[in-house]
Amino acid sequence: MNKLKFSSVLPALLLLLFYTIPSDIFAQKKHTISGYVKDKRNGETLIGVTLIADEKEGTVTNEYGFFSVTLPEGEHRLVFTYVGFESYSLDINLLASQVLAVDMTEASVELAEVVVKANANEQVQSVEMGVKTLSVQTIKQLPAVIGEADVLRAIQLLPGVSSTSEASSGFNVRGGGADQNLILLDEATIYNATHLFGLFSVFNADALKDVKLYKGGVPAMYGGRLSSVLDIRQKEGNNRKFGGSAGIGLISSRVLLEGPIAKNTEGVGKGSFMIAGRRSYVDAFAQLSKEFRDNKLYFYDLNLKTNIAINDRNKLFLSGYFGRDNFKLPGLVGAKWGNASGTLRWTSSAGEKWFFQTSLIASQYDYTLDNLRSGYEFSWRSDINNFNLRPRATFYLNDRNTIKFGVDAVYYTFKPGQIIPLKNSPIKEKTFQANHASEVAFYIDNEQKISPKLSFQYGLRWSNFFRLGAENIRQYETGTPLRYDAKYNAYLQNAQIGTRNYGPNELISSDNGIEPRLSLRYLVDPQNAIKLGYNRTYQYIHLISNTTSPTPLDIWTPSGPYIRPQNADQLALGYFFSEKKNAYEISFEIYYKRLNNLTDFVDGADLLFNENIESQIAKGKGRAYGAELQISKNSGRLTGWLSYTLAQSQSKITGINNNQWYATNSDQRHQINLVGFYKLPGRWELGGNFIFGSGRPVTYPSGKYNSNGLVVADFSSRNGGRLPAYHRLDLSATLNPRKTSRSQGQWVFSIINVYNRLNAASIFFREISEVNDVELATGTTEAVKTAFFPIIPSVSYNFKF
Amino acid sequence: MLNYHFQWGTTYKVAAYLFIVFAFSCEKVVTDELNVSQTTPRLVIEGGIERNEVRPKQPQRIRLTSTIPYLSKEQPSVVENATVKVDNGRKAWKLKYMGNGWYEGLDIQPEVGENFTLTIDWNGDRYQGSSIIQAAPKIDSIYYAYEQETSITDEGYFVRLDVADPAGVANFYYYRVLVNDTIFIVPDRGNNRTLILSDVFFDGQTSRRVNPNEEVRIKLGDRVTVQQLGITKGYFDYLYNLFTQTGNQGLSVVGNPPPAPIRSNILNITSPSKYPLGYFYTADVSEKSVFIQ
Repeated sequence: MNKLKFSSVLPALLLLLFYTIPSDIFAQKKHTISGYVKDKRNGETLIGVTLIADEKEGTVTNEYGFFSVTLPEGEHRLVFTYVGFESYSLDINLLASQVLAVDMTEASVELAEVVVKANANEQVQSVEMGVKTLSVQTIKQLPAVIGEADVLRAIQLLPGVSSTSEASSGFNVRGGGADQNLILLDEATIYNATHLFGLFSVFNADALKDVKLYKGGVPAMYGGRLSSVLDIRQKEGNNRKFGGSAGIGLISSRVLLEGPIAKNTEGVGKGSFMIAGRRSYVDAFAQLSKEFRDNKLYFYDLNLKTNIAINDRNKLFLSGYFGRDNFKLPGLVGAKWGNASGTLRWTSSAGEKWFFQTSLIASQYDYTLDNLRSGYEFSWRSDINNFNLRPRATFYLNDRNTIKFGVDAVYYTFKPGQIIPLKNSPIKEKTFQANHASEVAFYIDNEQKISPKLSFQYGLRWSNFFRLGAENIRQYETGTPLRYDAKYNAYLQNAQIGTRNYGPNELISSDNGIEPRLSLRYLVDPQNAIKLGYNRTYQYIHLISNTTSPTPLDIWTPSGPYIRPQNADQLALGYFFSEKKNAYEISFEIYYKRLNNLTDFVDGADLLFNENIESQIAKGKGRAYGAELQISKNSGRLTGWLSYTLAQSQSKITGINNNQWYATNSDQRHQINLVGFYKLPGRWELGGNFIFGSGRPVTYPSGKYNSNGLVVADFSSRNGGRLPAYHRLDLSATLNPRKTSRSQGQWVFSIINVYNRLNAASIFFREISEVNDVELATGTTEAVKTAFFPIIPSVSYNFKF
Repeated sequence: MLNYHFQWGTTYKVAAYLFIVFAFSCEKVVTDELNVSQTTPRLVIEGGIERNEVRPKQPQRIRLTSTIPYLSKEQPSVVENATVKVDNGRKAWKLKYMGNGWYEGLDIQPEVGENFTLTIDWNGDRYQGSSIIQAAPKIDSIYYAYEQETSITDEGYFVRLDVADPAGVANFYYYRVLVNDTIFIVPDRGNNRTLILSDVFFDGQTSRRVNPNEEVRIKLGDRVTVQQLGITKGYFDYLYNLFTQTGNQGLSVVGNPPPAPIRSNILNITSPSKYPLGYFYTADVSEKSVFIQ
């Protein structure tokens, strides 16, 4: 019950804001330099370029490559630095505000060996903590499972991020559930980020530009999930010349086209486009077998992004994603699922001190499940969609304050299910009631430099959630669908006494939360910084899933009269070091996270085809704490990082595990990641990673008994046991094209699990049910370890045209 | 290899197909490497009260055992010294111990709608719970056919049913297949969608070509009996969890539901924390048989 008193925090924040703003009025005459930074080669705007003025005042370009810095009148030296690019310096005599167009050149391969690969100690200078950016280039160099470069697998190599299961690209951040990650692709929510039952992520690495993960220190403009934000941006496309790339892998092929739109006389487009596609062909192997000829298993996705500059200050973007999986076993089951999203965005740098952006976003996830069992054939469909309007303004007030504020408004429609008979089966058509909800958040955030040593980023997000009609809400005897009987440690269902009818857009219930966000950076010296971060997050929509990793059939359900919003508080403290030339970096963070009103499910919950989800929900709380150390080497032939995570994550849910705290599925005490890249003098580049993780929790049976002719395990404590430790070495080698070669072909070889260790993905318990190929209940029990990923070599070929 | 929602049908072929796809994943028996300890043994209740017009004289049987460590090679330990009573609110019967954990009552003639309460006194604790007999409609017809191999079943004889569901009532069904008078059941991930059915999506309809158990192997000369049990929602939920957990073949890429104790309808009213396992069910049984020839 020791909740922070916002009534006291809020005035303090405002005081801080007002205290510093007027100081400017009396200062000497100042002017603003603003503009965009682009990649000279293709016109792609560059996100997160560091701009240092006179070796002290710093800023970074925003998500659209825009910067604005206000400096006193007079002479200044501006230096722009960016990962993998030659730094760009400019001497300027500032007499009036001006707009700059900065083109940066990618460091050539020869130079890359000496060029510093990270931004000039941005890690130390930035106020942000708990934030990691991965370049797409790094992601592509990592050893890839069956040759598919995978964003979600790459972020699992970062400290504090772990995998939900070896064969899944679902991930846990700082002990949080896989449903607590907000995954954004060009600002659009991706509800299910995996293909092939979790084996691969939906993100085609070719089409991506930048990947940023917030493990903590989430800025006020993001909200809606408890644990993390994964912000993925697509490439805009080359605005100088038409070109393309393609890749052929063992399970899929990719192609990407990009080029300028409306070229001017200098050959630079007013806009550009990028279109990319990917299709798997694993099902081609099934064609080889007569038995499996009618079976289906494939996925494809399409990425699109176009932009056009209306003028120097205004730009329009249109981006989209569409992906599908299709799976069918004749006579048994068929399933199709996928995400679709579209984003229309307008950005404007109207005044040199203002940057405006407004996005209109639509996203959708749906699945269809066909039960093809004889006698009861039916098709089941479920979907969720939302429309999202996000206006935001950034005000580069002065050299000390950058203020962002805006609104994040979402309208959700949840269609939990519709059942349609197939083949004249007796199943009757039925549609579950749709749920409607609106989430509206207002936020303001200020990044403030108090002194050269002390900087703050503080903000407030006020989120509101409205459950809206039309819907008939079930009413229960004592007001709730379930009651907990402490004596028998059991949930009992309360009788339904009727329904209450709500008309279209009538308010059914409302919730709101105040979400303070704060980061503080104290620069001990230019190489060392100490940071402190606190954030509170609210999550209003809940994933209805009883499994550890996301599955295609998981649906989301909104908060309402019976399901309460979840919230989390996270406090983190960090130390950051960067060597003078930034060749080495060290970061060390500790965090404590508290989760309240955590949504879980009663023992034995049946969640599929269940309209009455509220009768399956149990509630509780969670806690997670840990320490994360990362040492990175950024320059030279050998680059990479070593990270160590020490963590604990627990839940306490009423009615589960005898109401005692228990380890969550993501609880992993120790985790070590070693990631390295080595550039040989010639055309070869090598990559490798070694992963070590202590055993994940597993539930061991506490006894067995017979029932209905089967042997049943009795489980009395959840997650009481541990799997054996996990370790794996993966290697990759990339053969780059000859400088002189015209074909621009690149070979990528990967080996996953080099020493072929059969790591336990799970240990489960079963009755032996087959003797000499005859199915038979034997009454004898055994424990079985399953392992995915033995040694898997793969090769893929990429080329440009 | 699929998640647990895809529990229709045989695991092995689904797995085999996906093995072709992924060409990896393997299983290893680690029984001897694990030390799985046991908490205090719990009382286990099996059996119930069945109304069956075809077999009106059959005894009503309850079996009592207690749990043993999961990886033990022993047989379950039987409970011999309990007092077992059944009553329908008007009359009570004391069941007679017949050996091997079985307690029998011979003269119980249950009727649809009757509520039976089971009371067990054992080791100073009283266990109690009750269940109502739900009507089961008749099986319209039973027939068989020789069917070709599909991606989920082998070729062979399969028994099929046509059944009509009564309209306007929530029905829950449990199918038992007896081959030459022996009940056939194997742990399988399809059990929770094949052996039990709720009529929520087909209320009042006639279902045709229903396969009551996809795993049964039938040969020429066999006599196959299919029993359709009308069961309570409580027993349906119990069986759903039972079949889900016993059908878990660990082949999930994406994880299975968390293992949890399966709740009995019998409570230990003396010391609730020493809860029993198993279920005391009541059912109306309709059955039909067919010779495979």
